[in-house]
Amino acid sequence: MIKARKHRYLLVVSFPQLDMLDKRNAMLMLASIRQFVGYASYAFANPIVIKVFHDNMFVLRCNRGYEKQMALALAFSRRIGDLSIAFCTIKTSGTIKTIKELAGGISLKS
Amino acid sequence: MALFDVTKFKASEEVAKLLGFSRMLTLGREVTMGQASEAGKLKNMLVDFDKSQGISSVVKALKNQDVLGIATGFGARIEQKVMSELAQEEKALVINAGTLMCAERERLSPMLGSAPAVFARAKNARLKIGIASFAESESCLASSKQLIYLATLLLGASEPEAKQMLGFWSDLL
Repeated sequence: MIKARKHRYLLVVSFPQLDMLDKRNAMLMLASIRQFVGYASYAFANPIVIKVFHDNMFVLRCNRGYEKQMALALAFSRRIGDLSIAFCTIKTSGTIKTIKELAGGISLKS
Repeated sequence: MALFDVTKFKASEEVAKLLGFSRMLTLGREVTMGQASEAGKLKNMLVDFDKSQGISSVVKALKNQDVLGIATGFGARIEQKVMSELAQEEKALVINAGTLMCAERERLSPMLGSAPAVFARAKNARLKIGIASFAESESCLASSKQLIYLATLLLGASEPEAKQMLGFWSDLL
C-alpha cells in the first residue's frame, strides 16, 4: 500500500516586499534554497510555493522532516536577482488551515 | 522564555513580534559595540573581537564593568586566554549569525566547519553564550525560529540551549 506523503507548511515573510505571484521570483527563491541544501536534499524535501497572501507573506510546502532545513536555507537566501532580501520563517505547521488562520490575523505595514 | 535579537537599525515592535522576538535591541542604544580600547567609554558594550587588535587588550577590556562580553563572527577562533577570562569575569560570548547568513558562498564552508568546535569549547568552559543577527537593514533580518534552527543544526546546540542563547539578554540588561 502506498502511504500518502505528509507535508509541512512554512509561513514565510519577505523583507522587503516581493511579489511571489511572479513565477520568476518563486523560481529564483527555490533555486537559492537548492544552492544551499544541494540537489539531493532539495529532491527529498520537494519545496513548493503553494499560496501567496497579502503583503509579503507566502506559504512554502515541503515534505515532513525537512522543514528545519528549508527554514535555514531561507535564512541564507539573501538575493533574488538584483534585490537584497530576507526570507523569515515565522510559523511551521502540519496543516494549511492553521497557517491560514495565523496569516489572516497578521497585517504587516510594509 | 522571552527571546531577543540585536539589530543595527531600529526595528519596529510589530516586526519584532512577527519574527517571534519579545524585543529587538538596537545596537547603539540598548547595547553598544566597539573595540577593546573603547571599554569604559560606552555603556553595555560588546567588544568586537574580530576588529580588536591584541588579546591582552581584549582581556583588559573584559575586566571593565560596562563590558557585557565579546561579539565574534560565526566560527571565529577564540584564544583560550580570552575564554578563561570570559568565564572568570562571567561575561558573555555573543555569536554574530549575520556574518554567516550574509557571507559569500566561498566563505561559508570554513565558518561552518569550525563553528561546532568553538561552540563546544565555549560550552565546556561554561560561558554564557548568545546569538544575534546584528542585521544592518530589513533585508538582513532572521526570525527567532531560523536562529534557533541555526544554533541547533549548525552549532550542535540542543533546542533549550538555543532558546537560552536568544533569551540571555534579559539577564544582562
